[in-house]
Amino acid sequence: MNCDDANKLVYAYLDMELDAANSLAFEKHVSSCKACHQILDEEKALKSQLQDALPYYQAPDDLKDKILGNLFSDTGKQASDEEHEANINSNLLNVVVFNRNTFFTKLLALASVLMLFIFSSIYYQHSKNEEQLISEVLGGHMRSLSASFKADIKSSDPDAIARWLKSRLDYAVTVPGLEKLDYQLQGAKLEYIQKQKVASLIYSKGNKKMNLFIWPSPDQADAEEEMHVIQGYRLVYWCKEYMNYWVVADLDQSSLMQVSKALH
Amino acid sequence: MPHLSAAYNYAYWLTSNAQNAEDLTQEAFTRALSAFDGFRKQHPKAWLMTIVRNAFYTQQQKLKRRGEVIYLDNLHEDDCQSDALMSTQTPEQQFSRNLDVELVRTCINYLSSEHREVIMLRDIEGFNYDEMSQILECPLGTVMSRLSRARKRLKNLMLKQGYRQENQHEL
Repeated sequence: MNCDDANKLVYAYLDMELDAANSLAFEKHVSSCKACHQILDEEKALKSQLQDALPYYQAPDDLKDKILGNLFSDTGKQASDEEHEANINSNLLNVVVFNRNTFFTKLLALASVLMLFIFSSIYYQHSKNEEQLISEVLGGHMRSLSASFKADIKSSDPDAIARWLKSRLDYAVTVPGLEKLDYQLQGAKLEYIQKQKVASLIYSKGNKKMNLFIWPSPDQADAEEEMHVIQGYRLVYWCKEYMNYWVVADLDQSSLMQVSKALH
Repeated sequence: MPHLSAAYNYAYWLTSNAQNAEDLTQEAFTRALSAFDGFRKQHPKAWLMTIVRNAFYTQQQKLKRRGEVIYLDNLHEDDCQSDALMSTQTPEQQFSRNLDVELVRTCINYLSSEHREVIMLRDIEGFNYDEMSQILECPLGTVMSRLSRARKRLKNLMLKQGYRQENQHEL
């Protein structure tokens, strides 16, 4: 990395947006370059002071009420009419009814807004969890493709692999054979997905490798097949009898569905 | 109410006006409730910010069509003269003055709205580049370059105003 590169990356580094490789290269350059080190120190100091000095405009206290009133404006208009009538007639009872209407209208609006953000937060978190899970499963498959990869147990005997897994996991795994589809069982490895030990079965067909990940699903008994395509790799997920299954391979859709069908 | 402060703050940064910021925030919440089917795997706060921004630019387009004055960018950084900026300070004050809120606010007002909003989204609201890319509806590379340009311009303006960096020996 030279000074020009470092200058371009200084803000991304301070914002912690660089990946590990670029971050290390940046730090290495800065540690040996006095000019870039000074720029980094200056920008760091400025960023810190700016964060304290940038204005934050606080919402006025009555804005929440205005928004809630606005959300149900039709009802609000009706309430206003009632208020007008109440004022004209000086009817205390009507005033009470109006106040109640306004109160419940605002309560309903507030509940709608809260539900909106609670629901969207849950949905977002679910999406993030799913993305994380897919990324971990794909990571397990990618590791098995590397030249330095070594299976924990090398065997083409499903029973031998099942026994080996049984001694290392607190759940039973059925190891399927896929010879009918010309997939040869190569072995197995223990992976960590979602912070738990997972059985990863490794199959090959020619120069293609396929992984089948299996682990318990305590909260869900069954789930239909789902296909995901990430970075050119296809992943199929399903859940059966409280067990999660993920198949990952660099295969076309029909070949992978064939495998998935055979595994069911 | 969730994210009300963030939505109002963003609206204020966009409009530079309290009343317009209130109107824009109300409009954004109404849109959020009526357009929930538009929600797509975005952080809820980032999603609301996108709505604030879209509502703002829709308003701007309407005003433009009607030939009304647009209240943004009335002070453009290219028009900013260092003399005008420095006129409120004596030379002594300019050189001894450390970074303060008033100085930052003065300089921020001379940035374009595009530059103001990226600084606000990152340095106040703490959105990461990916979330900013969703809010601003532009590629990640554009977020990075825009943020970099915005910070450099803000720094230059502040140096003209008398901001003195701790490690700097010459202005």
